[in-house]
Amino acid sequence: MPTRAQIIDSLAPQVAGDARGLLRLAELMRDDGQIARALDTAHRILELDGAAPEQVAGARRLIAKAVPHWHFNIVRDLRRNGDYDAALKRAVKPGMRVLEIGTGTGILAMMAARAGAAEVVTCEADPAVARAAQRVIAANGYADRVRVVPKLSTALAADEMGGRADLLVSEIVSHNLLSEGVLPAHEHAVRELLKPGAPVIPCGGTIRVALAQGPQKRFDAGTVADFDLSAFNTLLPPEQRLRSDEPGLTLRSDPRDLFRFDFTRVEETPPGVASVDCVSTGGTVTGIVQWIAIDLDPGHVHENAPDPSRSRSSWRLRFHDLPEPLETKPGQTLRVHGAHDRSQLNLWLG
Amino acid sequence: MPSTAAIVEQMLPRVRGNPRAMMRLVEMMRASGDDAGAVALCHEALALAPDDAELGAIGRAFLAFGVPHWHAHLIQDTERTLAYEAALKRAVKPGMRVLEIGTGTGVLAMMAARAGAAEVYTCELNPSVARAAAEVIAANGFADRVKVIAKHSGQIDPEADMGGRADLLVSEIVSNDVLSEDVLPSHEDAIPRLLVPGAPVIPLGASAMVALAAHPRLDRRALHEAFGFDFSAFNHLERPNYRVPVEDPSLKVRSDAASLFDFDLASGRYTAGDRASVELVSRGGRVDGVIQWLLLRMDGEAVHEVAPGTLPYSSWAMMFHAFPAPIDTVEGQRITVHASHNRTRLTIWTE
Repeated sequence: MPTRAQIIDSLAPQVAGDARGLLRLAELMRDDGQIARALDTAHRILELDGAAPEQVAGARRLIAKAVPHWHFNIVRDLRRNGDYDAALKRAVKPGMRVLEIGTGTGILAMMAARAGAAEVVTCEADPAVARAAQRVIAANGYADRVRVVPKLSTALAADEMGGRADLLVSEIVSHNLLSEGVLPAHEHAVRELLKPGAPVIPCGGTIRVALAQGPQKRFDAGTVADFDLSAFNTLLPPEQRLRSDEPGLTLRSDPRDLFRFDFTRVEETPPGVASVDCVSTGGTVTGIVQWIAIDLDPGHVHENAPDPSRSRSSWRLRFHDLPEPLETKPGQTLRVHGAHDRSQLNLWLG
Repeated sequence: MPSTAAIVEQMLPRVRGNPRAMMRLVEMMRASGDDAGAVALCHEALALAPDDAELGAIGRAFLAFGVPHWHAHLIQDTERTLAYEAALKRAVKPGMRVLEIGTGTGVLAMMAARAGAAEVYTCELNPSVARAAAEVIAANGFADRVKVIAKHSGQIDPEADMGGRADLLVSEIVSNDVLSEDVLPSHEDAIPRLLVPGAPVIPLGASAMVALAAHPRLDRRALHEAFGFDFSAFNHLERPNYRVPVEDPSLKVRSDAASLFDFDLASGRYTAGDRASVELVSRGGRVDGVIQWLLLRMDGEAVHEVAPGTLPYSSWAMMFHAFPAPIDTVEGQRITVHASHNRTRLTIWTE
């Protein structure tokens, strides 16, 4: 029996211009782990004149499945994009070569070009996203100045950019700041891809925590059809995701900085453990709420702090439930502990 | 260089009794491919240090990782649970041997036992889930009658794992579009191989239902202009369909319902076609696309249907397939909806 790879190779030359055959080929490539080729093939269906709607639907699904949905929410986060635009306008000088890590829709790369950069090199590891961003950039007339490199920044060398960059911009911070790999990406870029002392946006970030009463009781498997399912509770996620404008969330302490990171460091930031004392303002505490603050440049912080009166952030809050709610008195101190391994964050109360 | 598995094997005896060292090995064990061993070691470490809050936080995060969030939704879906319990009460006869595919919390397996089954064998692929389900079953006093098999149903040996074929099959492995949890291949494998001939199957069928609909959320999906840039070239990455909760009041149904495909889950072989077209007649008004939902035929007597606005809550979502552009329809206007499936996926489109 021929292997799947052999079937792919024999099918590939026969299906040009045939949407049904191309879709079959793209699905085989995907199943064989050849994601970039599968996406290329699916895009060929979209570019065909007169492809049947069935094959167009199949190609769109294959492409969309490979793409995280938050790209669409990020463009709509006006505060985030406004803060980045302002920071780029402050930092970009005419003629600069700018490196971006994480292209997404291409919005920050185009902002850098509009702010005066002569050249923007932007890395995007997801081949479908890289390709779409390239089209967005061309449609907006920036193809001559903005180049999408479809790989991880850690696989990029300064030579491929025509030399080291004058400025680094990225937005690869996650809900817990770290899990999209901002630390290794920035360490590599500052060491290998930037001129010494070049500005970095964002130049740092903070993981912030506060005591809080959450909007809902922690989910409990409880009793269903007279069966006790509580032994299943160990599998429930230790944290809930909340929106920054969640109306039912009440802070029960001032925010405290649990970890601060310098994103301009060349040296590797080690894993860390930290503790902060949170002083209760009194009332019921059901957990710890965690969010992020990023220093776009010195003096300009973008923060997704819980606040129902502000527009919703594209970053969610993380709410870590306590095993049982605590009734606290004003002034009562609770110690929040955290540990990170440069990627994941665990929080607990001790 | 030694393999990860070899390092794990070498380390394992040295970390025994030291919960923190055991927890450090847990991630490496999962990376080496021994998910079941990693879950067991994590539980051992937690049991050794019940008062270590940091270890508890790490262990909980590890056990919850990769566990589908929909288990929590299933627990809350009372209508679904009641529909299954009613069907099991009708079908289970005293002394029956029951097979379940997909244990989850174990609730359906325990219902089968409560309905009179002498033995229930329930298989669960995810080792964390299989272990938690076994604890739930023991806590409820069914450990003597309900056995969790931590395998995919396709890997079950009927003699070795369950002491012979079963008299009844119950499963809940249908997805929003019926197919994507592999219900067809799983049933086609299990029925001839793991059941006695003619054994009842719950549910015995599932249909993909559709109707024309308007949904205002559609307006927010595509990207247009932002900060002076045009993002419409990004829009082909948007998913061609999206989830709508059954109780969403903003969904307006604009036609009668029709079935695209009726899948027979009881015969062990789905022989009907893989293509279908239905003509839907508009009641008038704006139509944004097609809403698709699930209908389960529990047995010859009852159905469980996730139709728009008919349930207070469902763990299943409806799927909205948007037209390229909304259509302003007049009453009586006919729109043909086409569909195909490849046994694990449903595709819907209009001309």
